[in-house]
Amino acid sequence: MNKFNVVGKREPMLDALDKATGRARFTDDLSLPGMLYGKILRSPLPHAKILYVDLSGAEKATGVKAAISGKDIPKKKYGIVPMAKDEYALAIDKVRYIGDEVAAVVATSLDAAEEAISKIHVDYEELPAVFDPLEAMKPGAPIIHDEVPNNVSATIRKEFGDVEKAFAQSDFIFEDTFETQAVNHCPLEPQAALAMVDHSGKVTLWSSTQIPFFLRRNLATTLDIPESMVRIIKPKVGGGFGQKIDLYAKDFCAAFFAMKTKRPVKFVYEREEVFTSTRQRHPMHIQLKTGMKKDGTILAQQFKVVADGGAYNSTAPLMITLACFFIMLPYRIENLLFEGFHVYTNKPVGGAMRGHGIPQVRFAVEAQLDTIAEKMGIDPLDLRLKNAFQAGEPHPAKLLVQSCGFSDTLIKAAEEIGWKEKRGKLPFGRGVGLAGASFPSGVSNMSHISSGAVVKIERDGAITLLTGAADIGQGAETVISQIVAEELGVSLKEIRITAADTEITPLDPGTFGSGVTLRAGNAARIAAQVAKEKLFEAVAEKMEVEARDLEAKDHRIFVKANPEKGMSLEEAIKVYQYSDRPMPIIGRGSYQPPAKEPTTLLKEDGNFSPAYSFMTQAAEVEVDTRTGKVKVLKMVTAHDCGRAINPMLVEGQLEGSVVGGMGQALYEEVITEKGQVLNPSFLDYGIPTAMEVPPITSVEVETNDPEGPFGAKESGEGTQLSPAPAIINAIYDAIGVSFNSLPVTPERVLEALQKKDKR
Amino acid sequence: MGVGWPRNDVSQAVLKRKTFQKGKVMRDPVSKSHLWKKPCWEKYFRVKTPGEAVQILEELQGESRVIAGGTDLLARMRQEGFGVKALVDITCIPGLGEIRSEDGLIRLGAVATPKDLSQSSVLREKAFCLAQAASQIGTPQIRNLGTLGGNLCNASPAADLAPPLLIFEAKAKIAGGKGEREVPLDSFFTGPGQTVLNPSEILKEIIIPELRLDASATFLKLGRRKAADLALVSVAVLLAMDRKERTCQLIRIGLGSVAPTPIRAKQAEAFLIGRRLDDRSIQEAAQSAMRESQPISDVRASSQYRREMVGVMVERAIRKCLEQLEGKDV
Repeated sequence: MNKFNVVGKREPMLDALDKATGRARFTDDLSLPGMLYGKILRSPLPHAKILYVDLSGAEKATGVKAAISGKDIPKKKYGIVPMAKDEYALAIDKVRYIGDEVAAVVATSLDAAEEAISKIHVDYEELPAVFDPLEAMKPGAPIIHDEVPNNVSATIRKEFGDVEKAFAQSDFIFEDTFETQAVNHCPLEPQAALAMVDHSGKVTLWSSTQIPFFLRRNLATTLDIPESMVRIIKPKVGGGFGQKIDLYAKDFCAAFFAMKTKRPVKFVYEREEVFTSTRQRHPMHIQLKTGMKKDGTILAQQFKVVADGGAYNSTAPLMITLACFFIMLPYRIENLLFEGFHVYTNKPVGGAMRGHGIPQVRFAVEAQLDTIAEKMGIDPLDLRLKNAFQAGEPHPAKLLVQSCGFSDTLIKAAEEIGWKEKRGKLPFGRGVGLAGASFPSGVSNMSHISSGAVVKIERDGAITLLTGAADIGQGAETVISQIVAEELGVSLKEIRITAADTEITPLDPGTFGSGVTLRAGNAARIAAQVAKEKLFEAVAEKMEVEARDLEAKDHRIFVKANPEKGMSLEEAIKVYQYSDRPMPIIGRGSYQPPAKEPTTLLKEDGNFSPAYSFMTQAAEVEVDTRTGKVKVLKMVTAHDCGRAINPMLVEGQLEGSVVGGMGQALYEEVITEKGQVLNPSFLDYGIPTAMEVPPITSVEVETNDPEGPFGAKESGEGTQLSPAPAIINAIYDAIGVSFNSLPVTPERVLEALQKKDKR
Repeated sequence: MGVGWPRNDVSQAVLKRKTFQKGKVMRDPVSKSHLWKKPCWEKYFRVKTPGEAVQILEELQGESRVIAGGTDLLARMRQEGFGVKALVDITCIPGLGEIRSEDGLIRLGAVATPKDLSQSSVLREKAFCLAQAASQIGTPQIRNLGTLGGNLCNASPAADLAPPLLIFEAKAKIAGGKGEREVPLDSFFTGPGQTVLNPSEILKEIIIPELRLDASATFLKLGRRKAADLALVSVAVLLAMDRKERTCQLIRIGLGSVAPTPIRAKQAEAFLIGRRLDDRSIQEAAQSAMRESQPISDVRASSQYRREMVGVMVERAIRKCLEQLEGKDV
C-alpha cells in the first residue's frame, strides 16, 4: 500500500496541457523587440584549411547588421568535458567535417540572413580526409587535430582479476566482432538560442539546453567574459536525449552578436543542421572475447572498443569510460580487460545520447550471450540468471551496489513475454529474446555535481520551489514538485515551481547521466524539510509539544501519535508569523552524491554512482521472410527504478526508450558518404512512428534505495540499453540468424536468409 | 502543386544544400514575415474558373505555377531556392474538389484531398483501393492539404495514387487555351517530375469507371515504416476471373516507385490473362512484373531489393484479390 499522498501517484505532467494545446513556449516561440535573425555558414568540405573568409558581400547585403568568421571571435576552445576541449564556436584554422561552422551573419529577417550567407566567399585548401576510425588510427592517416597526431583523443584501459589466467582456465572461448551505427537523437525541437544584452553588458540567453549552468560556464569562457555576466534561462525544451548538453555555435553566435549589435539575436537550427552539425551516437567497432566455464559461469571478458568520434571530442573521455564501467554490471565478471579508444574522423560529431556509450557495447555482450547459450546448450535466461549480480556482493571494481533487482527483472520480463512457452518453440519466423542492463543514477566523483533547491512557504499556504533542475520534457519539474508536496503534506497544485534560470534558481548540473530525480529531488526534499522544521518549531511551541513529534499531511500539522491534535497549515503559518520569527519561511537544501570510495574515474577503482538501476527488456518479433521486414509484436521492460515517484512518467520514460531502442535495432542510421550525411531529414532518416510501436508492458520492480528521495532511482535512460539486443536476440530465435551489426534492415534480413538457404 | 514528396529520382541528399553553398536566392516580395521566408512569388492569384487559371498561365508564359495544396511545390521552392512570377491557386474553383459518380463513371476533382478520397463513400463503395492508397499518403497534415491533382502532376514515380488509378485505366481531363482534352493516365506521365501538361494547362478531373461487380482490386504499399513514408514499392492489382475454371479474365497491375514513372506491368498482365490462377502462374506473373520494373538505388533501398519486392508485392496483391473474389458472392 502506498503510504504516501503525492509520491507514487500517477499525476499528469504539470505542463502537459500547455504542451498539448500549443501554449507552451519553446525558445523559437520567443521574440524580443528589434530582434535580429542569425544564420551560420557551414563547411561543404570534410577537411580543409581555411585560407580566407571574405565577409564583404554579406556585410553589404540588405538588412544585414553584422557578419563574423572564426578570426573575429576570442580564441577560446570549448568542450563539455574540461579536459577534452577541442572546438571553437566558429572554425578558426580549418574545418574538420561537412557542416563545421565557418561564419555567421545576423540580419533584420531570416530571409536576409540566408541571402547574406550565400554571399560569403571562403577560400579553402582541401586536405586529405579520413572517414573510418580504424583507418584513422593507422600511422600516416590524415591528422585531424594537430595536438592528437594519432587521432586517438581518449582512451581507457581497465583490468581486474587475471584475464589471461581466466581464459586459460575457460572451457570455452568465444570471440566476435560487432559494429553499431550512427544514430541521431531527433529531438522534435531543433536547437535554438535567443540572446539579449542589458545596459550593464550582461548577456541573457534563452536556450534549448539540458544544462543551463554548464552552458553558462562554457558560454562565458568562449565569450571571454566573467561567468557572472551570463544568465541562462531554459524555456520549455522539446527533448534532448543528450544532444543538448553541448554548447553549440548558435549559443555563442546569438550572444556574441547581441553583444556586438546591442540588439536581441535569435538562431534556430534547421532539421538538416540537427542531423549534420550537432551530435550523434558514436558508431562503435567492438571486439569481444568471452571465456566460459562448462557450468555457464562467465569467467572472463575482454573488450577492444573503437568509437568513431567524428571531428571533435564532445564527451569523448566520459563516453568511453561509461562504456567500460557499465559492462562491469549487471553480470558478475571476475576477470575483465577493457580497452577503449575514441578516434577522430572527418564526420559528424559523436556525443552523449541516451545510454551514452553503453548501448553499443551492451548490444555486443547481450547478442553474444545468446549465441554462447545456443552453442553451450543453455537457456539464455538461465545463463543470465546464473551470472546476475546481486545486491551487497563485493564488486571486483569496487562499485557499491546497495540495491539490485536484476534477477527479479529477468524473471518477470521472461514471464511476461511467455519465455517458457515460446523460446525456441514458435514457428519459423517468430521468436522471443531478452537482454539485461544496468545504469547509474547520476555520477559520483565528477566536478560540478551538487544540486541546490529553495523552498518557501508562502503566507497563503502555497509553496514556492526554486530548482535548477532542467526539465526537457521528461517531467523533472513534476517529479520534484511531487517530492516537495509529499514532504510538506500539501497537494501538488499548491507547488509553484520556478526552474532552471541561472540567475534565480540554485546551482544544478542539469539533465544528464540520469541523476535529476536523485540529485535535484534530494536537494528539494532537504529544502522542504528545513522549511518544515522551522514551521514545526513555532507550532510545537504553541501546542506545547516536541517538534519531532509533529507531522505534516493533508494540509495539516498534527501530533503523530494523536492526529486529532493539530492545526491547518494556514493556522500554522499564522502561528509562525505571530511568534516573532523571521519571515519568510525559507528552507535551503543542497545535495551532493556521496563519494564513499573516491575514484579518479579513469585510473582507480571505486564507486561510480550513488545508486544503480537494473533492467531487462524482452521482445517478441515476427519476421516477414519474403520482405525481410521485422515486426516487433510485443516489448516488455522490467525496470528496477527504486520507488517510482510518478509511475505514469516512469512508464512514459520506459516506453520512449523502448521505441528509441527499436529505432536503433531496426530503422535508424545516419548514413554518410565521404563525410556527407545522405539522409538528413525525418523522411529519409526514418525513425519509427507510433504505427510501429508494439504493445509495451512495463513491469516495475520496485526496490527502495537508501540514497534516492523516497527510494527513487534512475528510470528511462537505462532502458534504452537493451531493447536493441532483445530484438536482435528475438530475431535470432525467429530465423536462426544472429546479427552482429545494426540496424537490421529488411534488406539485410533477406540477404541473411538467402545466405542461410544456400548453406 | 501537390502532395508533398521529394521526387524519387533525386535523392534529397544529392540536392545541393543552400546552407552549405552559394546559391541563387530570390527575395520574397509578398511576405515580410520572418516566419515565411522563401518560397517566393510576385503575385498570387486565387482563380474562380479553370478558364481564368489558363488565361493567367498563358499570359505569364511558363513563369507561373499552379498551386493547390502546396505541400510539394512550396517545399521544393524552398529547398531548391527558386521563385516564380505568379502562383495560380485553383483550390477555390467551384466543384473542382468534388467526387461524384454518374453513369458508371467516377469523377474525381483535381483538388480533392487524399483525406477526401480516403473518406469518400463513393470510392469506398466503388473503388476502395483508391481510398486505401489515399489513406496511406504521407501524414494527416499532408492528407488534409495535398490534392489528387498535385500527387499526379508532381509526377513522382512514388505517387501513391497513380498505381490504383492506372489499374482503373483512368483518364485525365485537362483544360488549356484550346479547350479541353482527355489523356489516358497511362500516357500522362512522361518522366520523373514530367507530364504531358504544357505550362498553360491544368489538370481538371480524373475519370475512372466503377469497379466491375465481378472484379476485385487492391493496393499494397511497402515502405520502411507504416506511416509518413515514401513507398519503396507500391502495387495495385485489379482482377476478375472465371469462377468455374479459375482462369484470369481481367488483370491489371500498376506499379509505383520502381520506374521513372508509375507503370503498368503489361507483360505480366498478358502472361496471366486466360491462364488458370494457381501458385505457379501467379509466381510467374510476379517474376514478369519484376523484369518489367527498373528501380533505382537510393538512401532508402537498393534497386535489387526494390526489384525483388516487386515480385513479392505483386504476388501478394494478386492473392489478396483472389481472396476477396472468393469471399464475394456474385
